[in-house]
Amino acid sequence: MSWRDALALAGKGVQRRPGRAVLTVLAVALAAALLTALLTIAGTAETKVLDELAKGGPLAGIKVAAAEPDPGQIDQDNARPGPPRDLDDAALARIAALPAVSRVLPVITARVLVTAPDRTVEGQALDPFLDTIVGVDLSSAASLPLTVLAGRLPGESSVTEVAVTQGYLERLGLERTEASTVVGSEIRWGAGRFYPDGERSFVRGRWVRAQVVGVVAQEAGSGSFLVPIDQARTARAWTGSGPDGGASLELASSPYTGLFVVAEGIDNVSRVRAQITAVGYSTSAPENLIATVRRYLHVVEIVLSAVGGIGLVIAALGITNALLAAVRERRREIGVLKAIGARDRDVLRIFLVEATALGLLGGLLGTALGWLVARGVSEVVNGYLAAQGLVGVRLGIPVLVVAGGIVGSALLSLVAGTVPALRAARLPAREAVGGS
Amino acid sequence: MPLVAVLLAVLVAACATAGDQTTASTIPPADNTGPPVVFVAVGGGETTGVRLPDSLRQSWPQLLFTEALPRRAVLVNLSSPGATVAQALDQQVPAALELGPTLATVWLTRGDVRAGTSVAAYERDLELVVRRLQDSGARVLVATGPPSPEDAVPVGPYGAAAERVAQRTGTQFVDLSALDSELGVAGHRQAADAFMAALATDPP
Repeated sequence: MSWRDALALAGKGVQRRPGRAVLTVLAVALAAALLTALLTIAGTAETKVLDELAKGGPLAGIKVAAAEPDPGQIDQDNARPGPPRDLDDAALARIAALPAVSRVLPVITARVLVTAPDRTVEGQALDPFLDTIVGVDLSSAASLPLTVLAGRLPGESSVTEVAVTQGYLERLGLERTEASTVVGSEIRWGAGRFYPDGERSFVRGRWVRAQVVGVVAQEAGSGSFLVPIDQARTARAWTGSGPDGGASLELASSPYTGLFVVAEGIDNVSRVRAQITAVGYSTSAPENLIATVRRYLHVVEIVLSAVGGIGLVIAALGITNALLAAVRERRREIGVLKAIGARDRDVLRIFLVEATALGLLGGLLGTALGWLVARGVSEVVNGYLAAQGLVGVRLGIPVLVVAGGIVGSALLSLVAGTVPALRAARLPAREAVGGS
Repeated sequence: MPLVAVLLAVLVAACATAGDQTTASTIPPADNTGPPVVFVAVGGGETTGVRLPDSLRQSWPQLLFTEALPRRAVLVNLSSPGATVAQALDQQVPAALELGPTLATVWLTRGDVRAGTSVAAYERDLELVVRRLQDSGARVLVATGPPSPEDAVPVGPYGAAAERVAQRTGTQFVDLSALDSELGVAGHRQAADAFMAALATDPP
């Protein structure tokens, strides 16, 4: 008996009991859907969280303050800094040369007076306000704790683009969901410089205009405006170029407000923090928080795997049960086949083909359904993340999960159908015909 | 067969909706190209906007800065209320030269009127102010305005002196003497318009 004949006979068997075939396919489909959805969600979570932790993204970052370490705060995630200590290029180079340090990104902040000419709050023009611009190397934005909520980041060397934070939205009385409404607007800011003028003195602003190109959540520095580092450096230099060196405007002497140090993987964060502390600077990093998150993620992974495993067992039992019933109902057909010369392996082949076909069909349907479920879940999660001011997850089509879901379902069905198929194959022809 | 059709439809729908996940923005780059534009305003209270409720938005230098200059421009308003030309020469001009200005405005009348500076001294020092700014490579606009409401001294001779300086130095003269002496919000608007009209002859 050829494979084609086996397939035709298996198809006829399915057509004879379409209800049972549909239920069998649905059992496989549900198991495949469950597994696909769980694996897709777990895979996305892993990409977004575990990979960040393991490979060293923003979560593997250490914030270095322009201050000495406080001995009592060393093991704290948000360590309180000690007395001020300048962070200059020499310190940056020294920290960059430490073992297990992947990157060192400087942060420069500058106090500025801000006006937003085209913004109103409750019908009134927004009063000028003091705030801080935070300058970072935006060519390395992927390594920084930045999340774009709307629009985009400023160009890395732009002198006319700025991204604002939620602090600015709050000042305007806007919700996070309204972030996109500020994109495209203009703000102006002036960095101050002290000028003595005879017996009087003045503060003169160096005013610039910038277009808001995005809204971000950022933890690189304390301030409502994120700019390319040269913008902040220029503003700071202006304040510092006054005859008092900026002291009247409380300009810190440190050239860098802070550093963002990326360790080579989360496992090196503690080591790098200790080294930087030894160099003499205060650090903070969410390492305790991350360790807790990792533990919880591992637990979630185990639970998801267990749920998926249960689904698989149920599906396998369903297939076995359906095929055993089919063998019982088709004893006469098996007997006739054997009477006209079919061998045991031919009968085995028919039932295995039937099981595999049902599994393949269920796998296809279930994988598609599972991906849609995962997508629905991601929409809900993204809605929650957007409400929290965080960027959403992007769900791709996981090729391995799709392929594994389809092929795995077929293989599972093949395995589950083996016992009934063997039982059918070993059925003596006389007994089979007589038993009907 | 219907089952297969449903399955295919589901797969097609899934694939068709898979591509709209992107949140990438297409905000165009802001005006960021071209040579730097550094605008310094040298002057007295007329340039500071001392009578304005919101000088950061309503003063004529700010209006000129935001409405007539490219976004990459930088403004430093060095004016101080009551400044005379001599004081500006001593304090404001050195500060301006540090900035490497490409555009400079000079509007100094009321301080000298109030201080009783002679027209000759005013004219001499104003020419020094203008020439030093010109020598730095800046395009210079010289203005004169109405008298202060508190001053009884006519400003006409000072205005005439400023116009002569503009002629001798080849700078543009902006006559604002017809403005309301209060120089309120409307006055600064008119002053900004007059400066913009002067700039329009050769935009920065």
